Amino acid sequence: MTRINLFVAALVWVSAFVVVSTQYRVRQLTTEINKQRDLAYQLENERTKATLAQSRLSTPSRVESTAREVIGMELPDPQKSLLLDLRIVAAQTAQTGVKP
Amino acid sequence: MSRTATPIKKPRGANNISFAERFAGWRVQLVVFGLLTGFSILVGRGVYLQIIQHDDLTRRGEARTLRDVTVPAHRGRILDREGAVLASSVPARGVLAFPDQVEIDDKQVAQLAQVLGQKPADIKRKLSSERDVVYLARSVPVEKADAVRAMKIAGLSLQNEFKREYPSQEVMGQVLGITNVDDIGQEGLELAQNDWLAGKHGARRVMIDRRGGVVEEHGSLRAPQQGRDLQLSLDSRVQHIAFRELKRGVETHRAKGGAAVVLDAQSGEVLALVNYPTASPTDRSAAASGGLRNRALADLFEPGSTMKPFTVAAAIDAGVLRANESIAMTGGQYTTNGATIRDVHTIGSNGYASVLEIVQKSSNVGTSRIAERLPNELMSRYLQRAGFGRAPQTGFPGEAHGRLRAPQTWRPIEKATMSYGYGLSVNLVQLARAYTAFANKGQLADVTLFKNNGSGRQSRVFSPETASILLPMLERATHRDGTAPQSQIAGYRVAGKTGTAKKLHNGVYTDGKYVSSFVGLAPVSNPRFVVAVMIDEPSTGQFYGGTVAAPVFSQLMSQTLRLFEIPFDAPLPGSPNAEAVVAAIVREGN
Repeated sequence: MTRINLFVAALVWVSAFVVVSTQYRVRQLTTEINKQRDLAYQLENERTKATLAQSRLSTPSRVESTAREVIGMELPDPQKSLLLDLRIVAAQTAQTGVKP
Repeated sequence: MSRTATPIKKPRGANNISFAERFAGWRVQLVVFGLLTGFSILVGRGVYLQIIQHDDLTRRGEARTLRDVTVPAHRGRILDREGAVLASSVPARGVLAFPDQVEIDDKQVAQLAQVLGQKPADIKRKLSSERDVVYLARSVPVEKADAVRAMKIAGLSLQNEFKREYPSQEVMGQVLGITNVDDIGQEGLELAQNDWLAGKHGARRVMIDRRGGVVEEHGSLRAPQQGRDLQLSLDSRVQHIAFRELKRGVETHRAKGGAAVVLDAQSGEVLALVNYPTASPTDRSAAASGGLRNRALADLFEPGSTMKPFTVAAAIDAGVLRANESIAMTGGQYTTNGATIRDVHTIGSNGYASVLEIVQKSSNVGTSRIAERLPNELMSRYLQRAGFGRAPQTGFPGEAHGRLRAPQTWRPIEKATMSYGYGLSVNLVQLARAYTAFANKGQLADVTLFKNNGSGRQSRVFSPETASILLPMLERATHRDGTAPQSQIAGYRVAGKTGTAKKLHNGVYTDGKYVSSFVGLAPVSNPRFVVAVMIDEPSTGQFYGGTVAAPVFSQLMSQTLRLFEIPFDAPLPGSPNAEAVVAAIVREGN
């Protein structure tokens, strides 16, 4: 009888220890998860900022103003533009052998 | 002799012990009683606290040590059809002050004002508020907020927020709209699609120490739901081209304003929707004064001659007019109900004009005479099928429906004027949508601001035969002998119609105030795009749609066609052969 009691008491003690240590471990892991979640959130925000910066830099209006002001480009003047239908040019090239 | 018995004296100590023993016994009992009582009280108190008061005490304890922390969720992005970001929320901070707890000197006020971009006097005024909490600034960039935190001013606190950024600024302003400082949609698509875009903040429970630092996590209460991205049908590149060309058109003609729309003729997707003047979504003062009003959808105007093709198409489709018929022009004027309608130029010959000439040269008289043949109800039905009198339903808030009166109320003169675009009103998107019927063999495409990958609905307005009759007429209107030769594009066949409408002012049509418009489609061999341009009150002397709006159309349409690499469907003017190209390259090289 005494042995059984001792065994049960030991079992209770071990169970209590396991419960407490598991709770502690769970809280540790929860803290870690939240840290990682915060990190993921920060990284996501960084990505958003980077994407936004990329979009801001590549807007057509910025590309055009950069082309005008930095590189000195200008829109083609329709009066001075010569449009080529490459299909026709290719056919003529094949006929005449002259390569543009 | 008597013996006297001497009483035996009890030793003094023996009596004392007995008393002491008795006293000791009583004292022990008293102590035991006291201990038992005390223990009972403790047990009772324990029971009271642990069982009866358990919930209340637990709650009070948790209230002091546990906090529910908000896990922020960002608002979804708005993307163009190619995935370019048009609007996105980035983290920011709100700077809060608890005026009665703030400890700050003048030097710190000056520093704080500099960091927040405000005047020191404004900071002081806010800090002298009698309210418990005041905002010193909202939507402050994180870097600046960190600088505020580093100043370690007692009574200041930072709050997590988001700030909405719009890379395309004023080019997209009137379509996207704005959000407020709490990142909630207030105008435009931001308002209309707020439920879709808005995220839902989450929460987690933490244990804090006396200073408010988190010492232990107690798990998640609610996971945050991030806002969903919204993909529009708009193309940033086409939008930019449209904005640039419209701005140029408005400035060239010193007009009050203008709008332009580019539609995918088949899917009904809006590729560009621009207004000028416009405002940046980040400029809240401009937004508050109506600068973000989307005139292409919210404002109505009388369409003028751009309505004529619908009158002619309705008559042909209803079988009351033959395409090869000649219409009597009655000396270039037409009188009904005592009112006379005139043409600006003489059209036709020998008093007659063909249907083609009526459309090509935009005859008010000819269109009125054709409308005369249509019963009111039938003409109204065709106009309704073409989308007049009902909102385009693009999903944009505040769309105007346009005005199309009940046919029973039309007097003959009203029907005549309606046939060439007076007495009814439309918005520009509605007008562009109506022209998809000519591009789609008689089918009207439902317009949308959201990418639909070509799955848009269509509804029939005219028969394919009617559409195929009208399309060449509209093409002729853009030729040298039509009203809009300036709408032509090298290498592509273009069809369209001009509109020049006098503006109503106090119920009277005013000379000198016009709405000039042009609606066209290209390439005619397989229409891909419908473009509508409206210029409001040009003031340089030119006011016809063919000279004011058509050039804007031409530039916008030609660049869109090239951008989408649409094959040429017309001979290129002066297209050189390979030898000439070589010669040109050699010349250029020299």
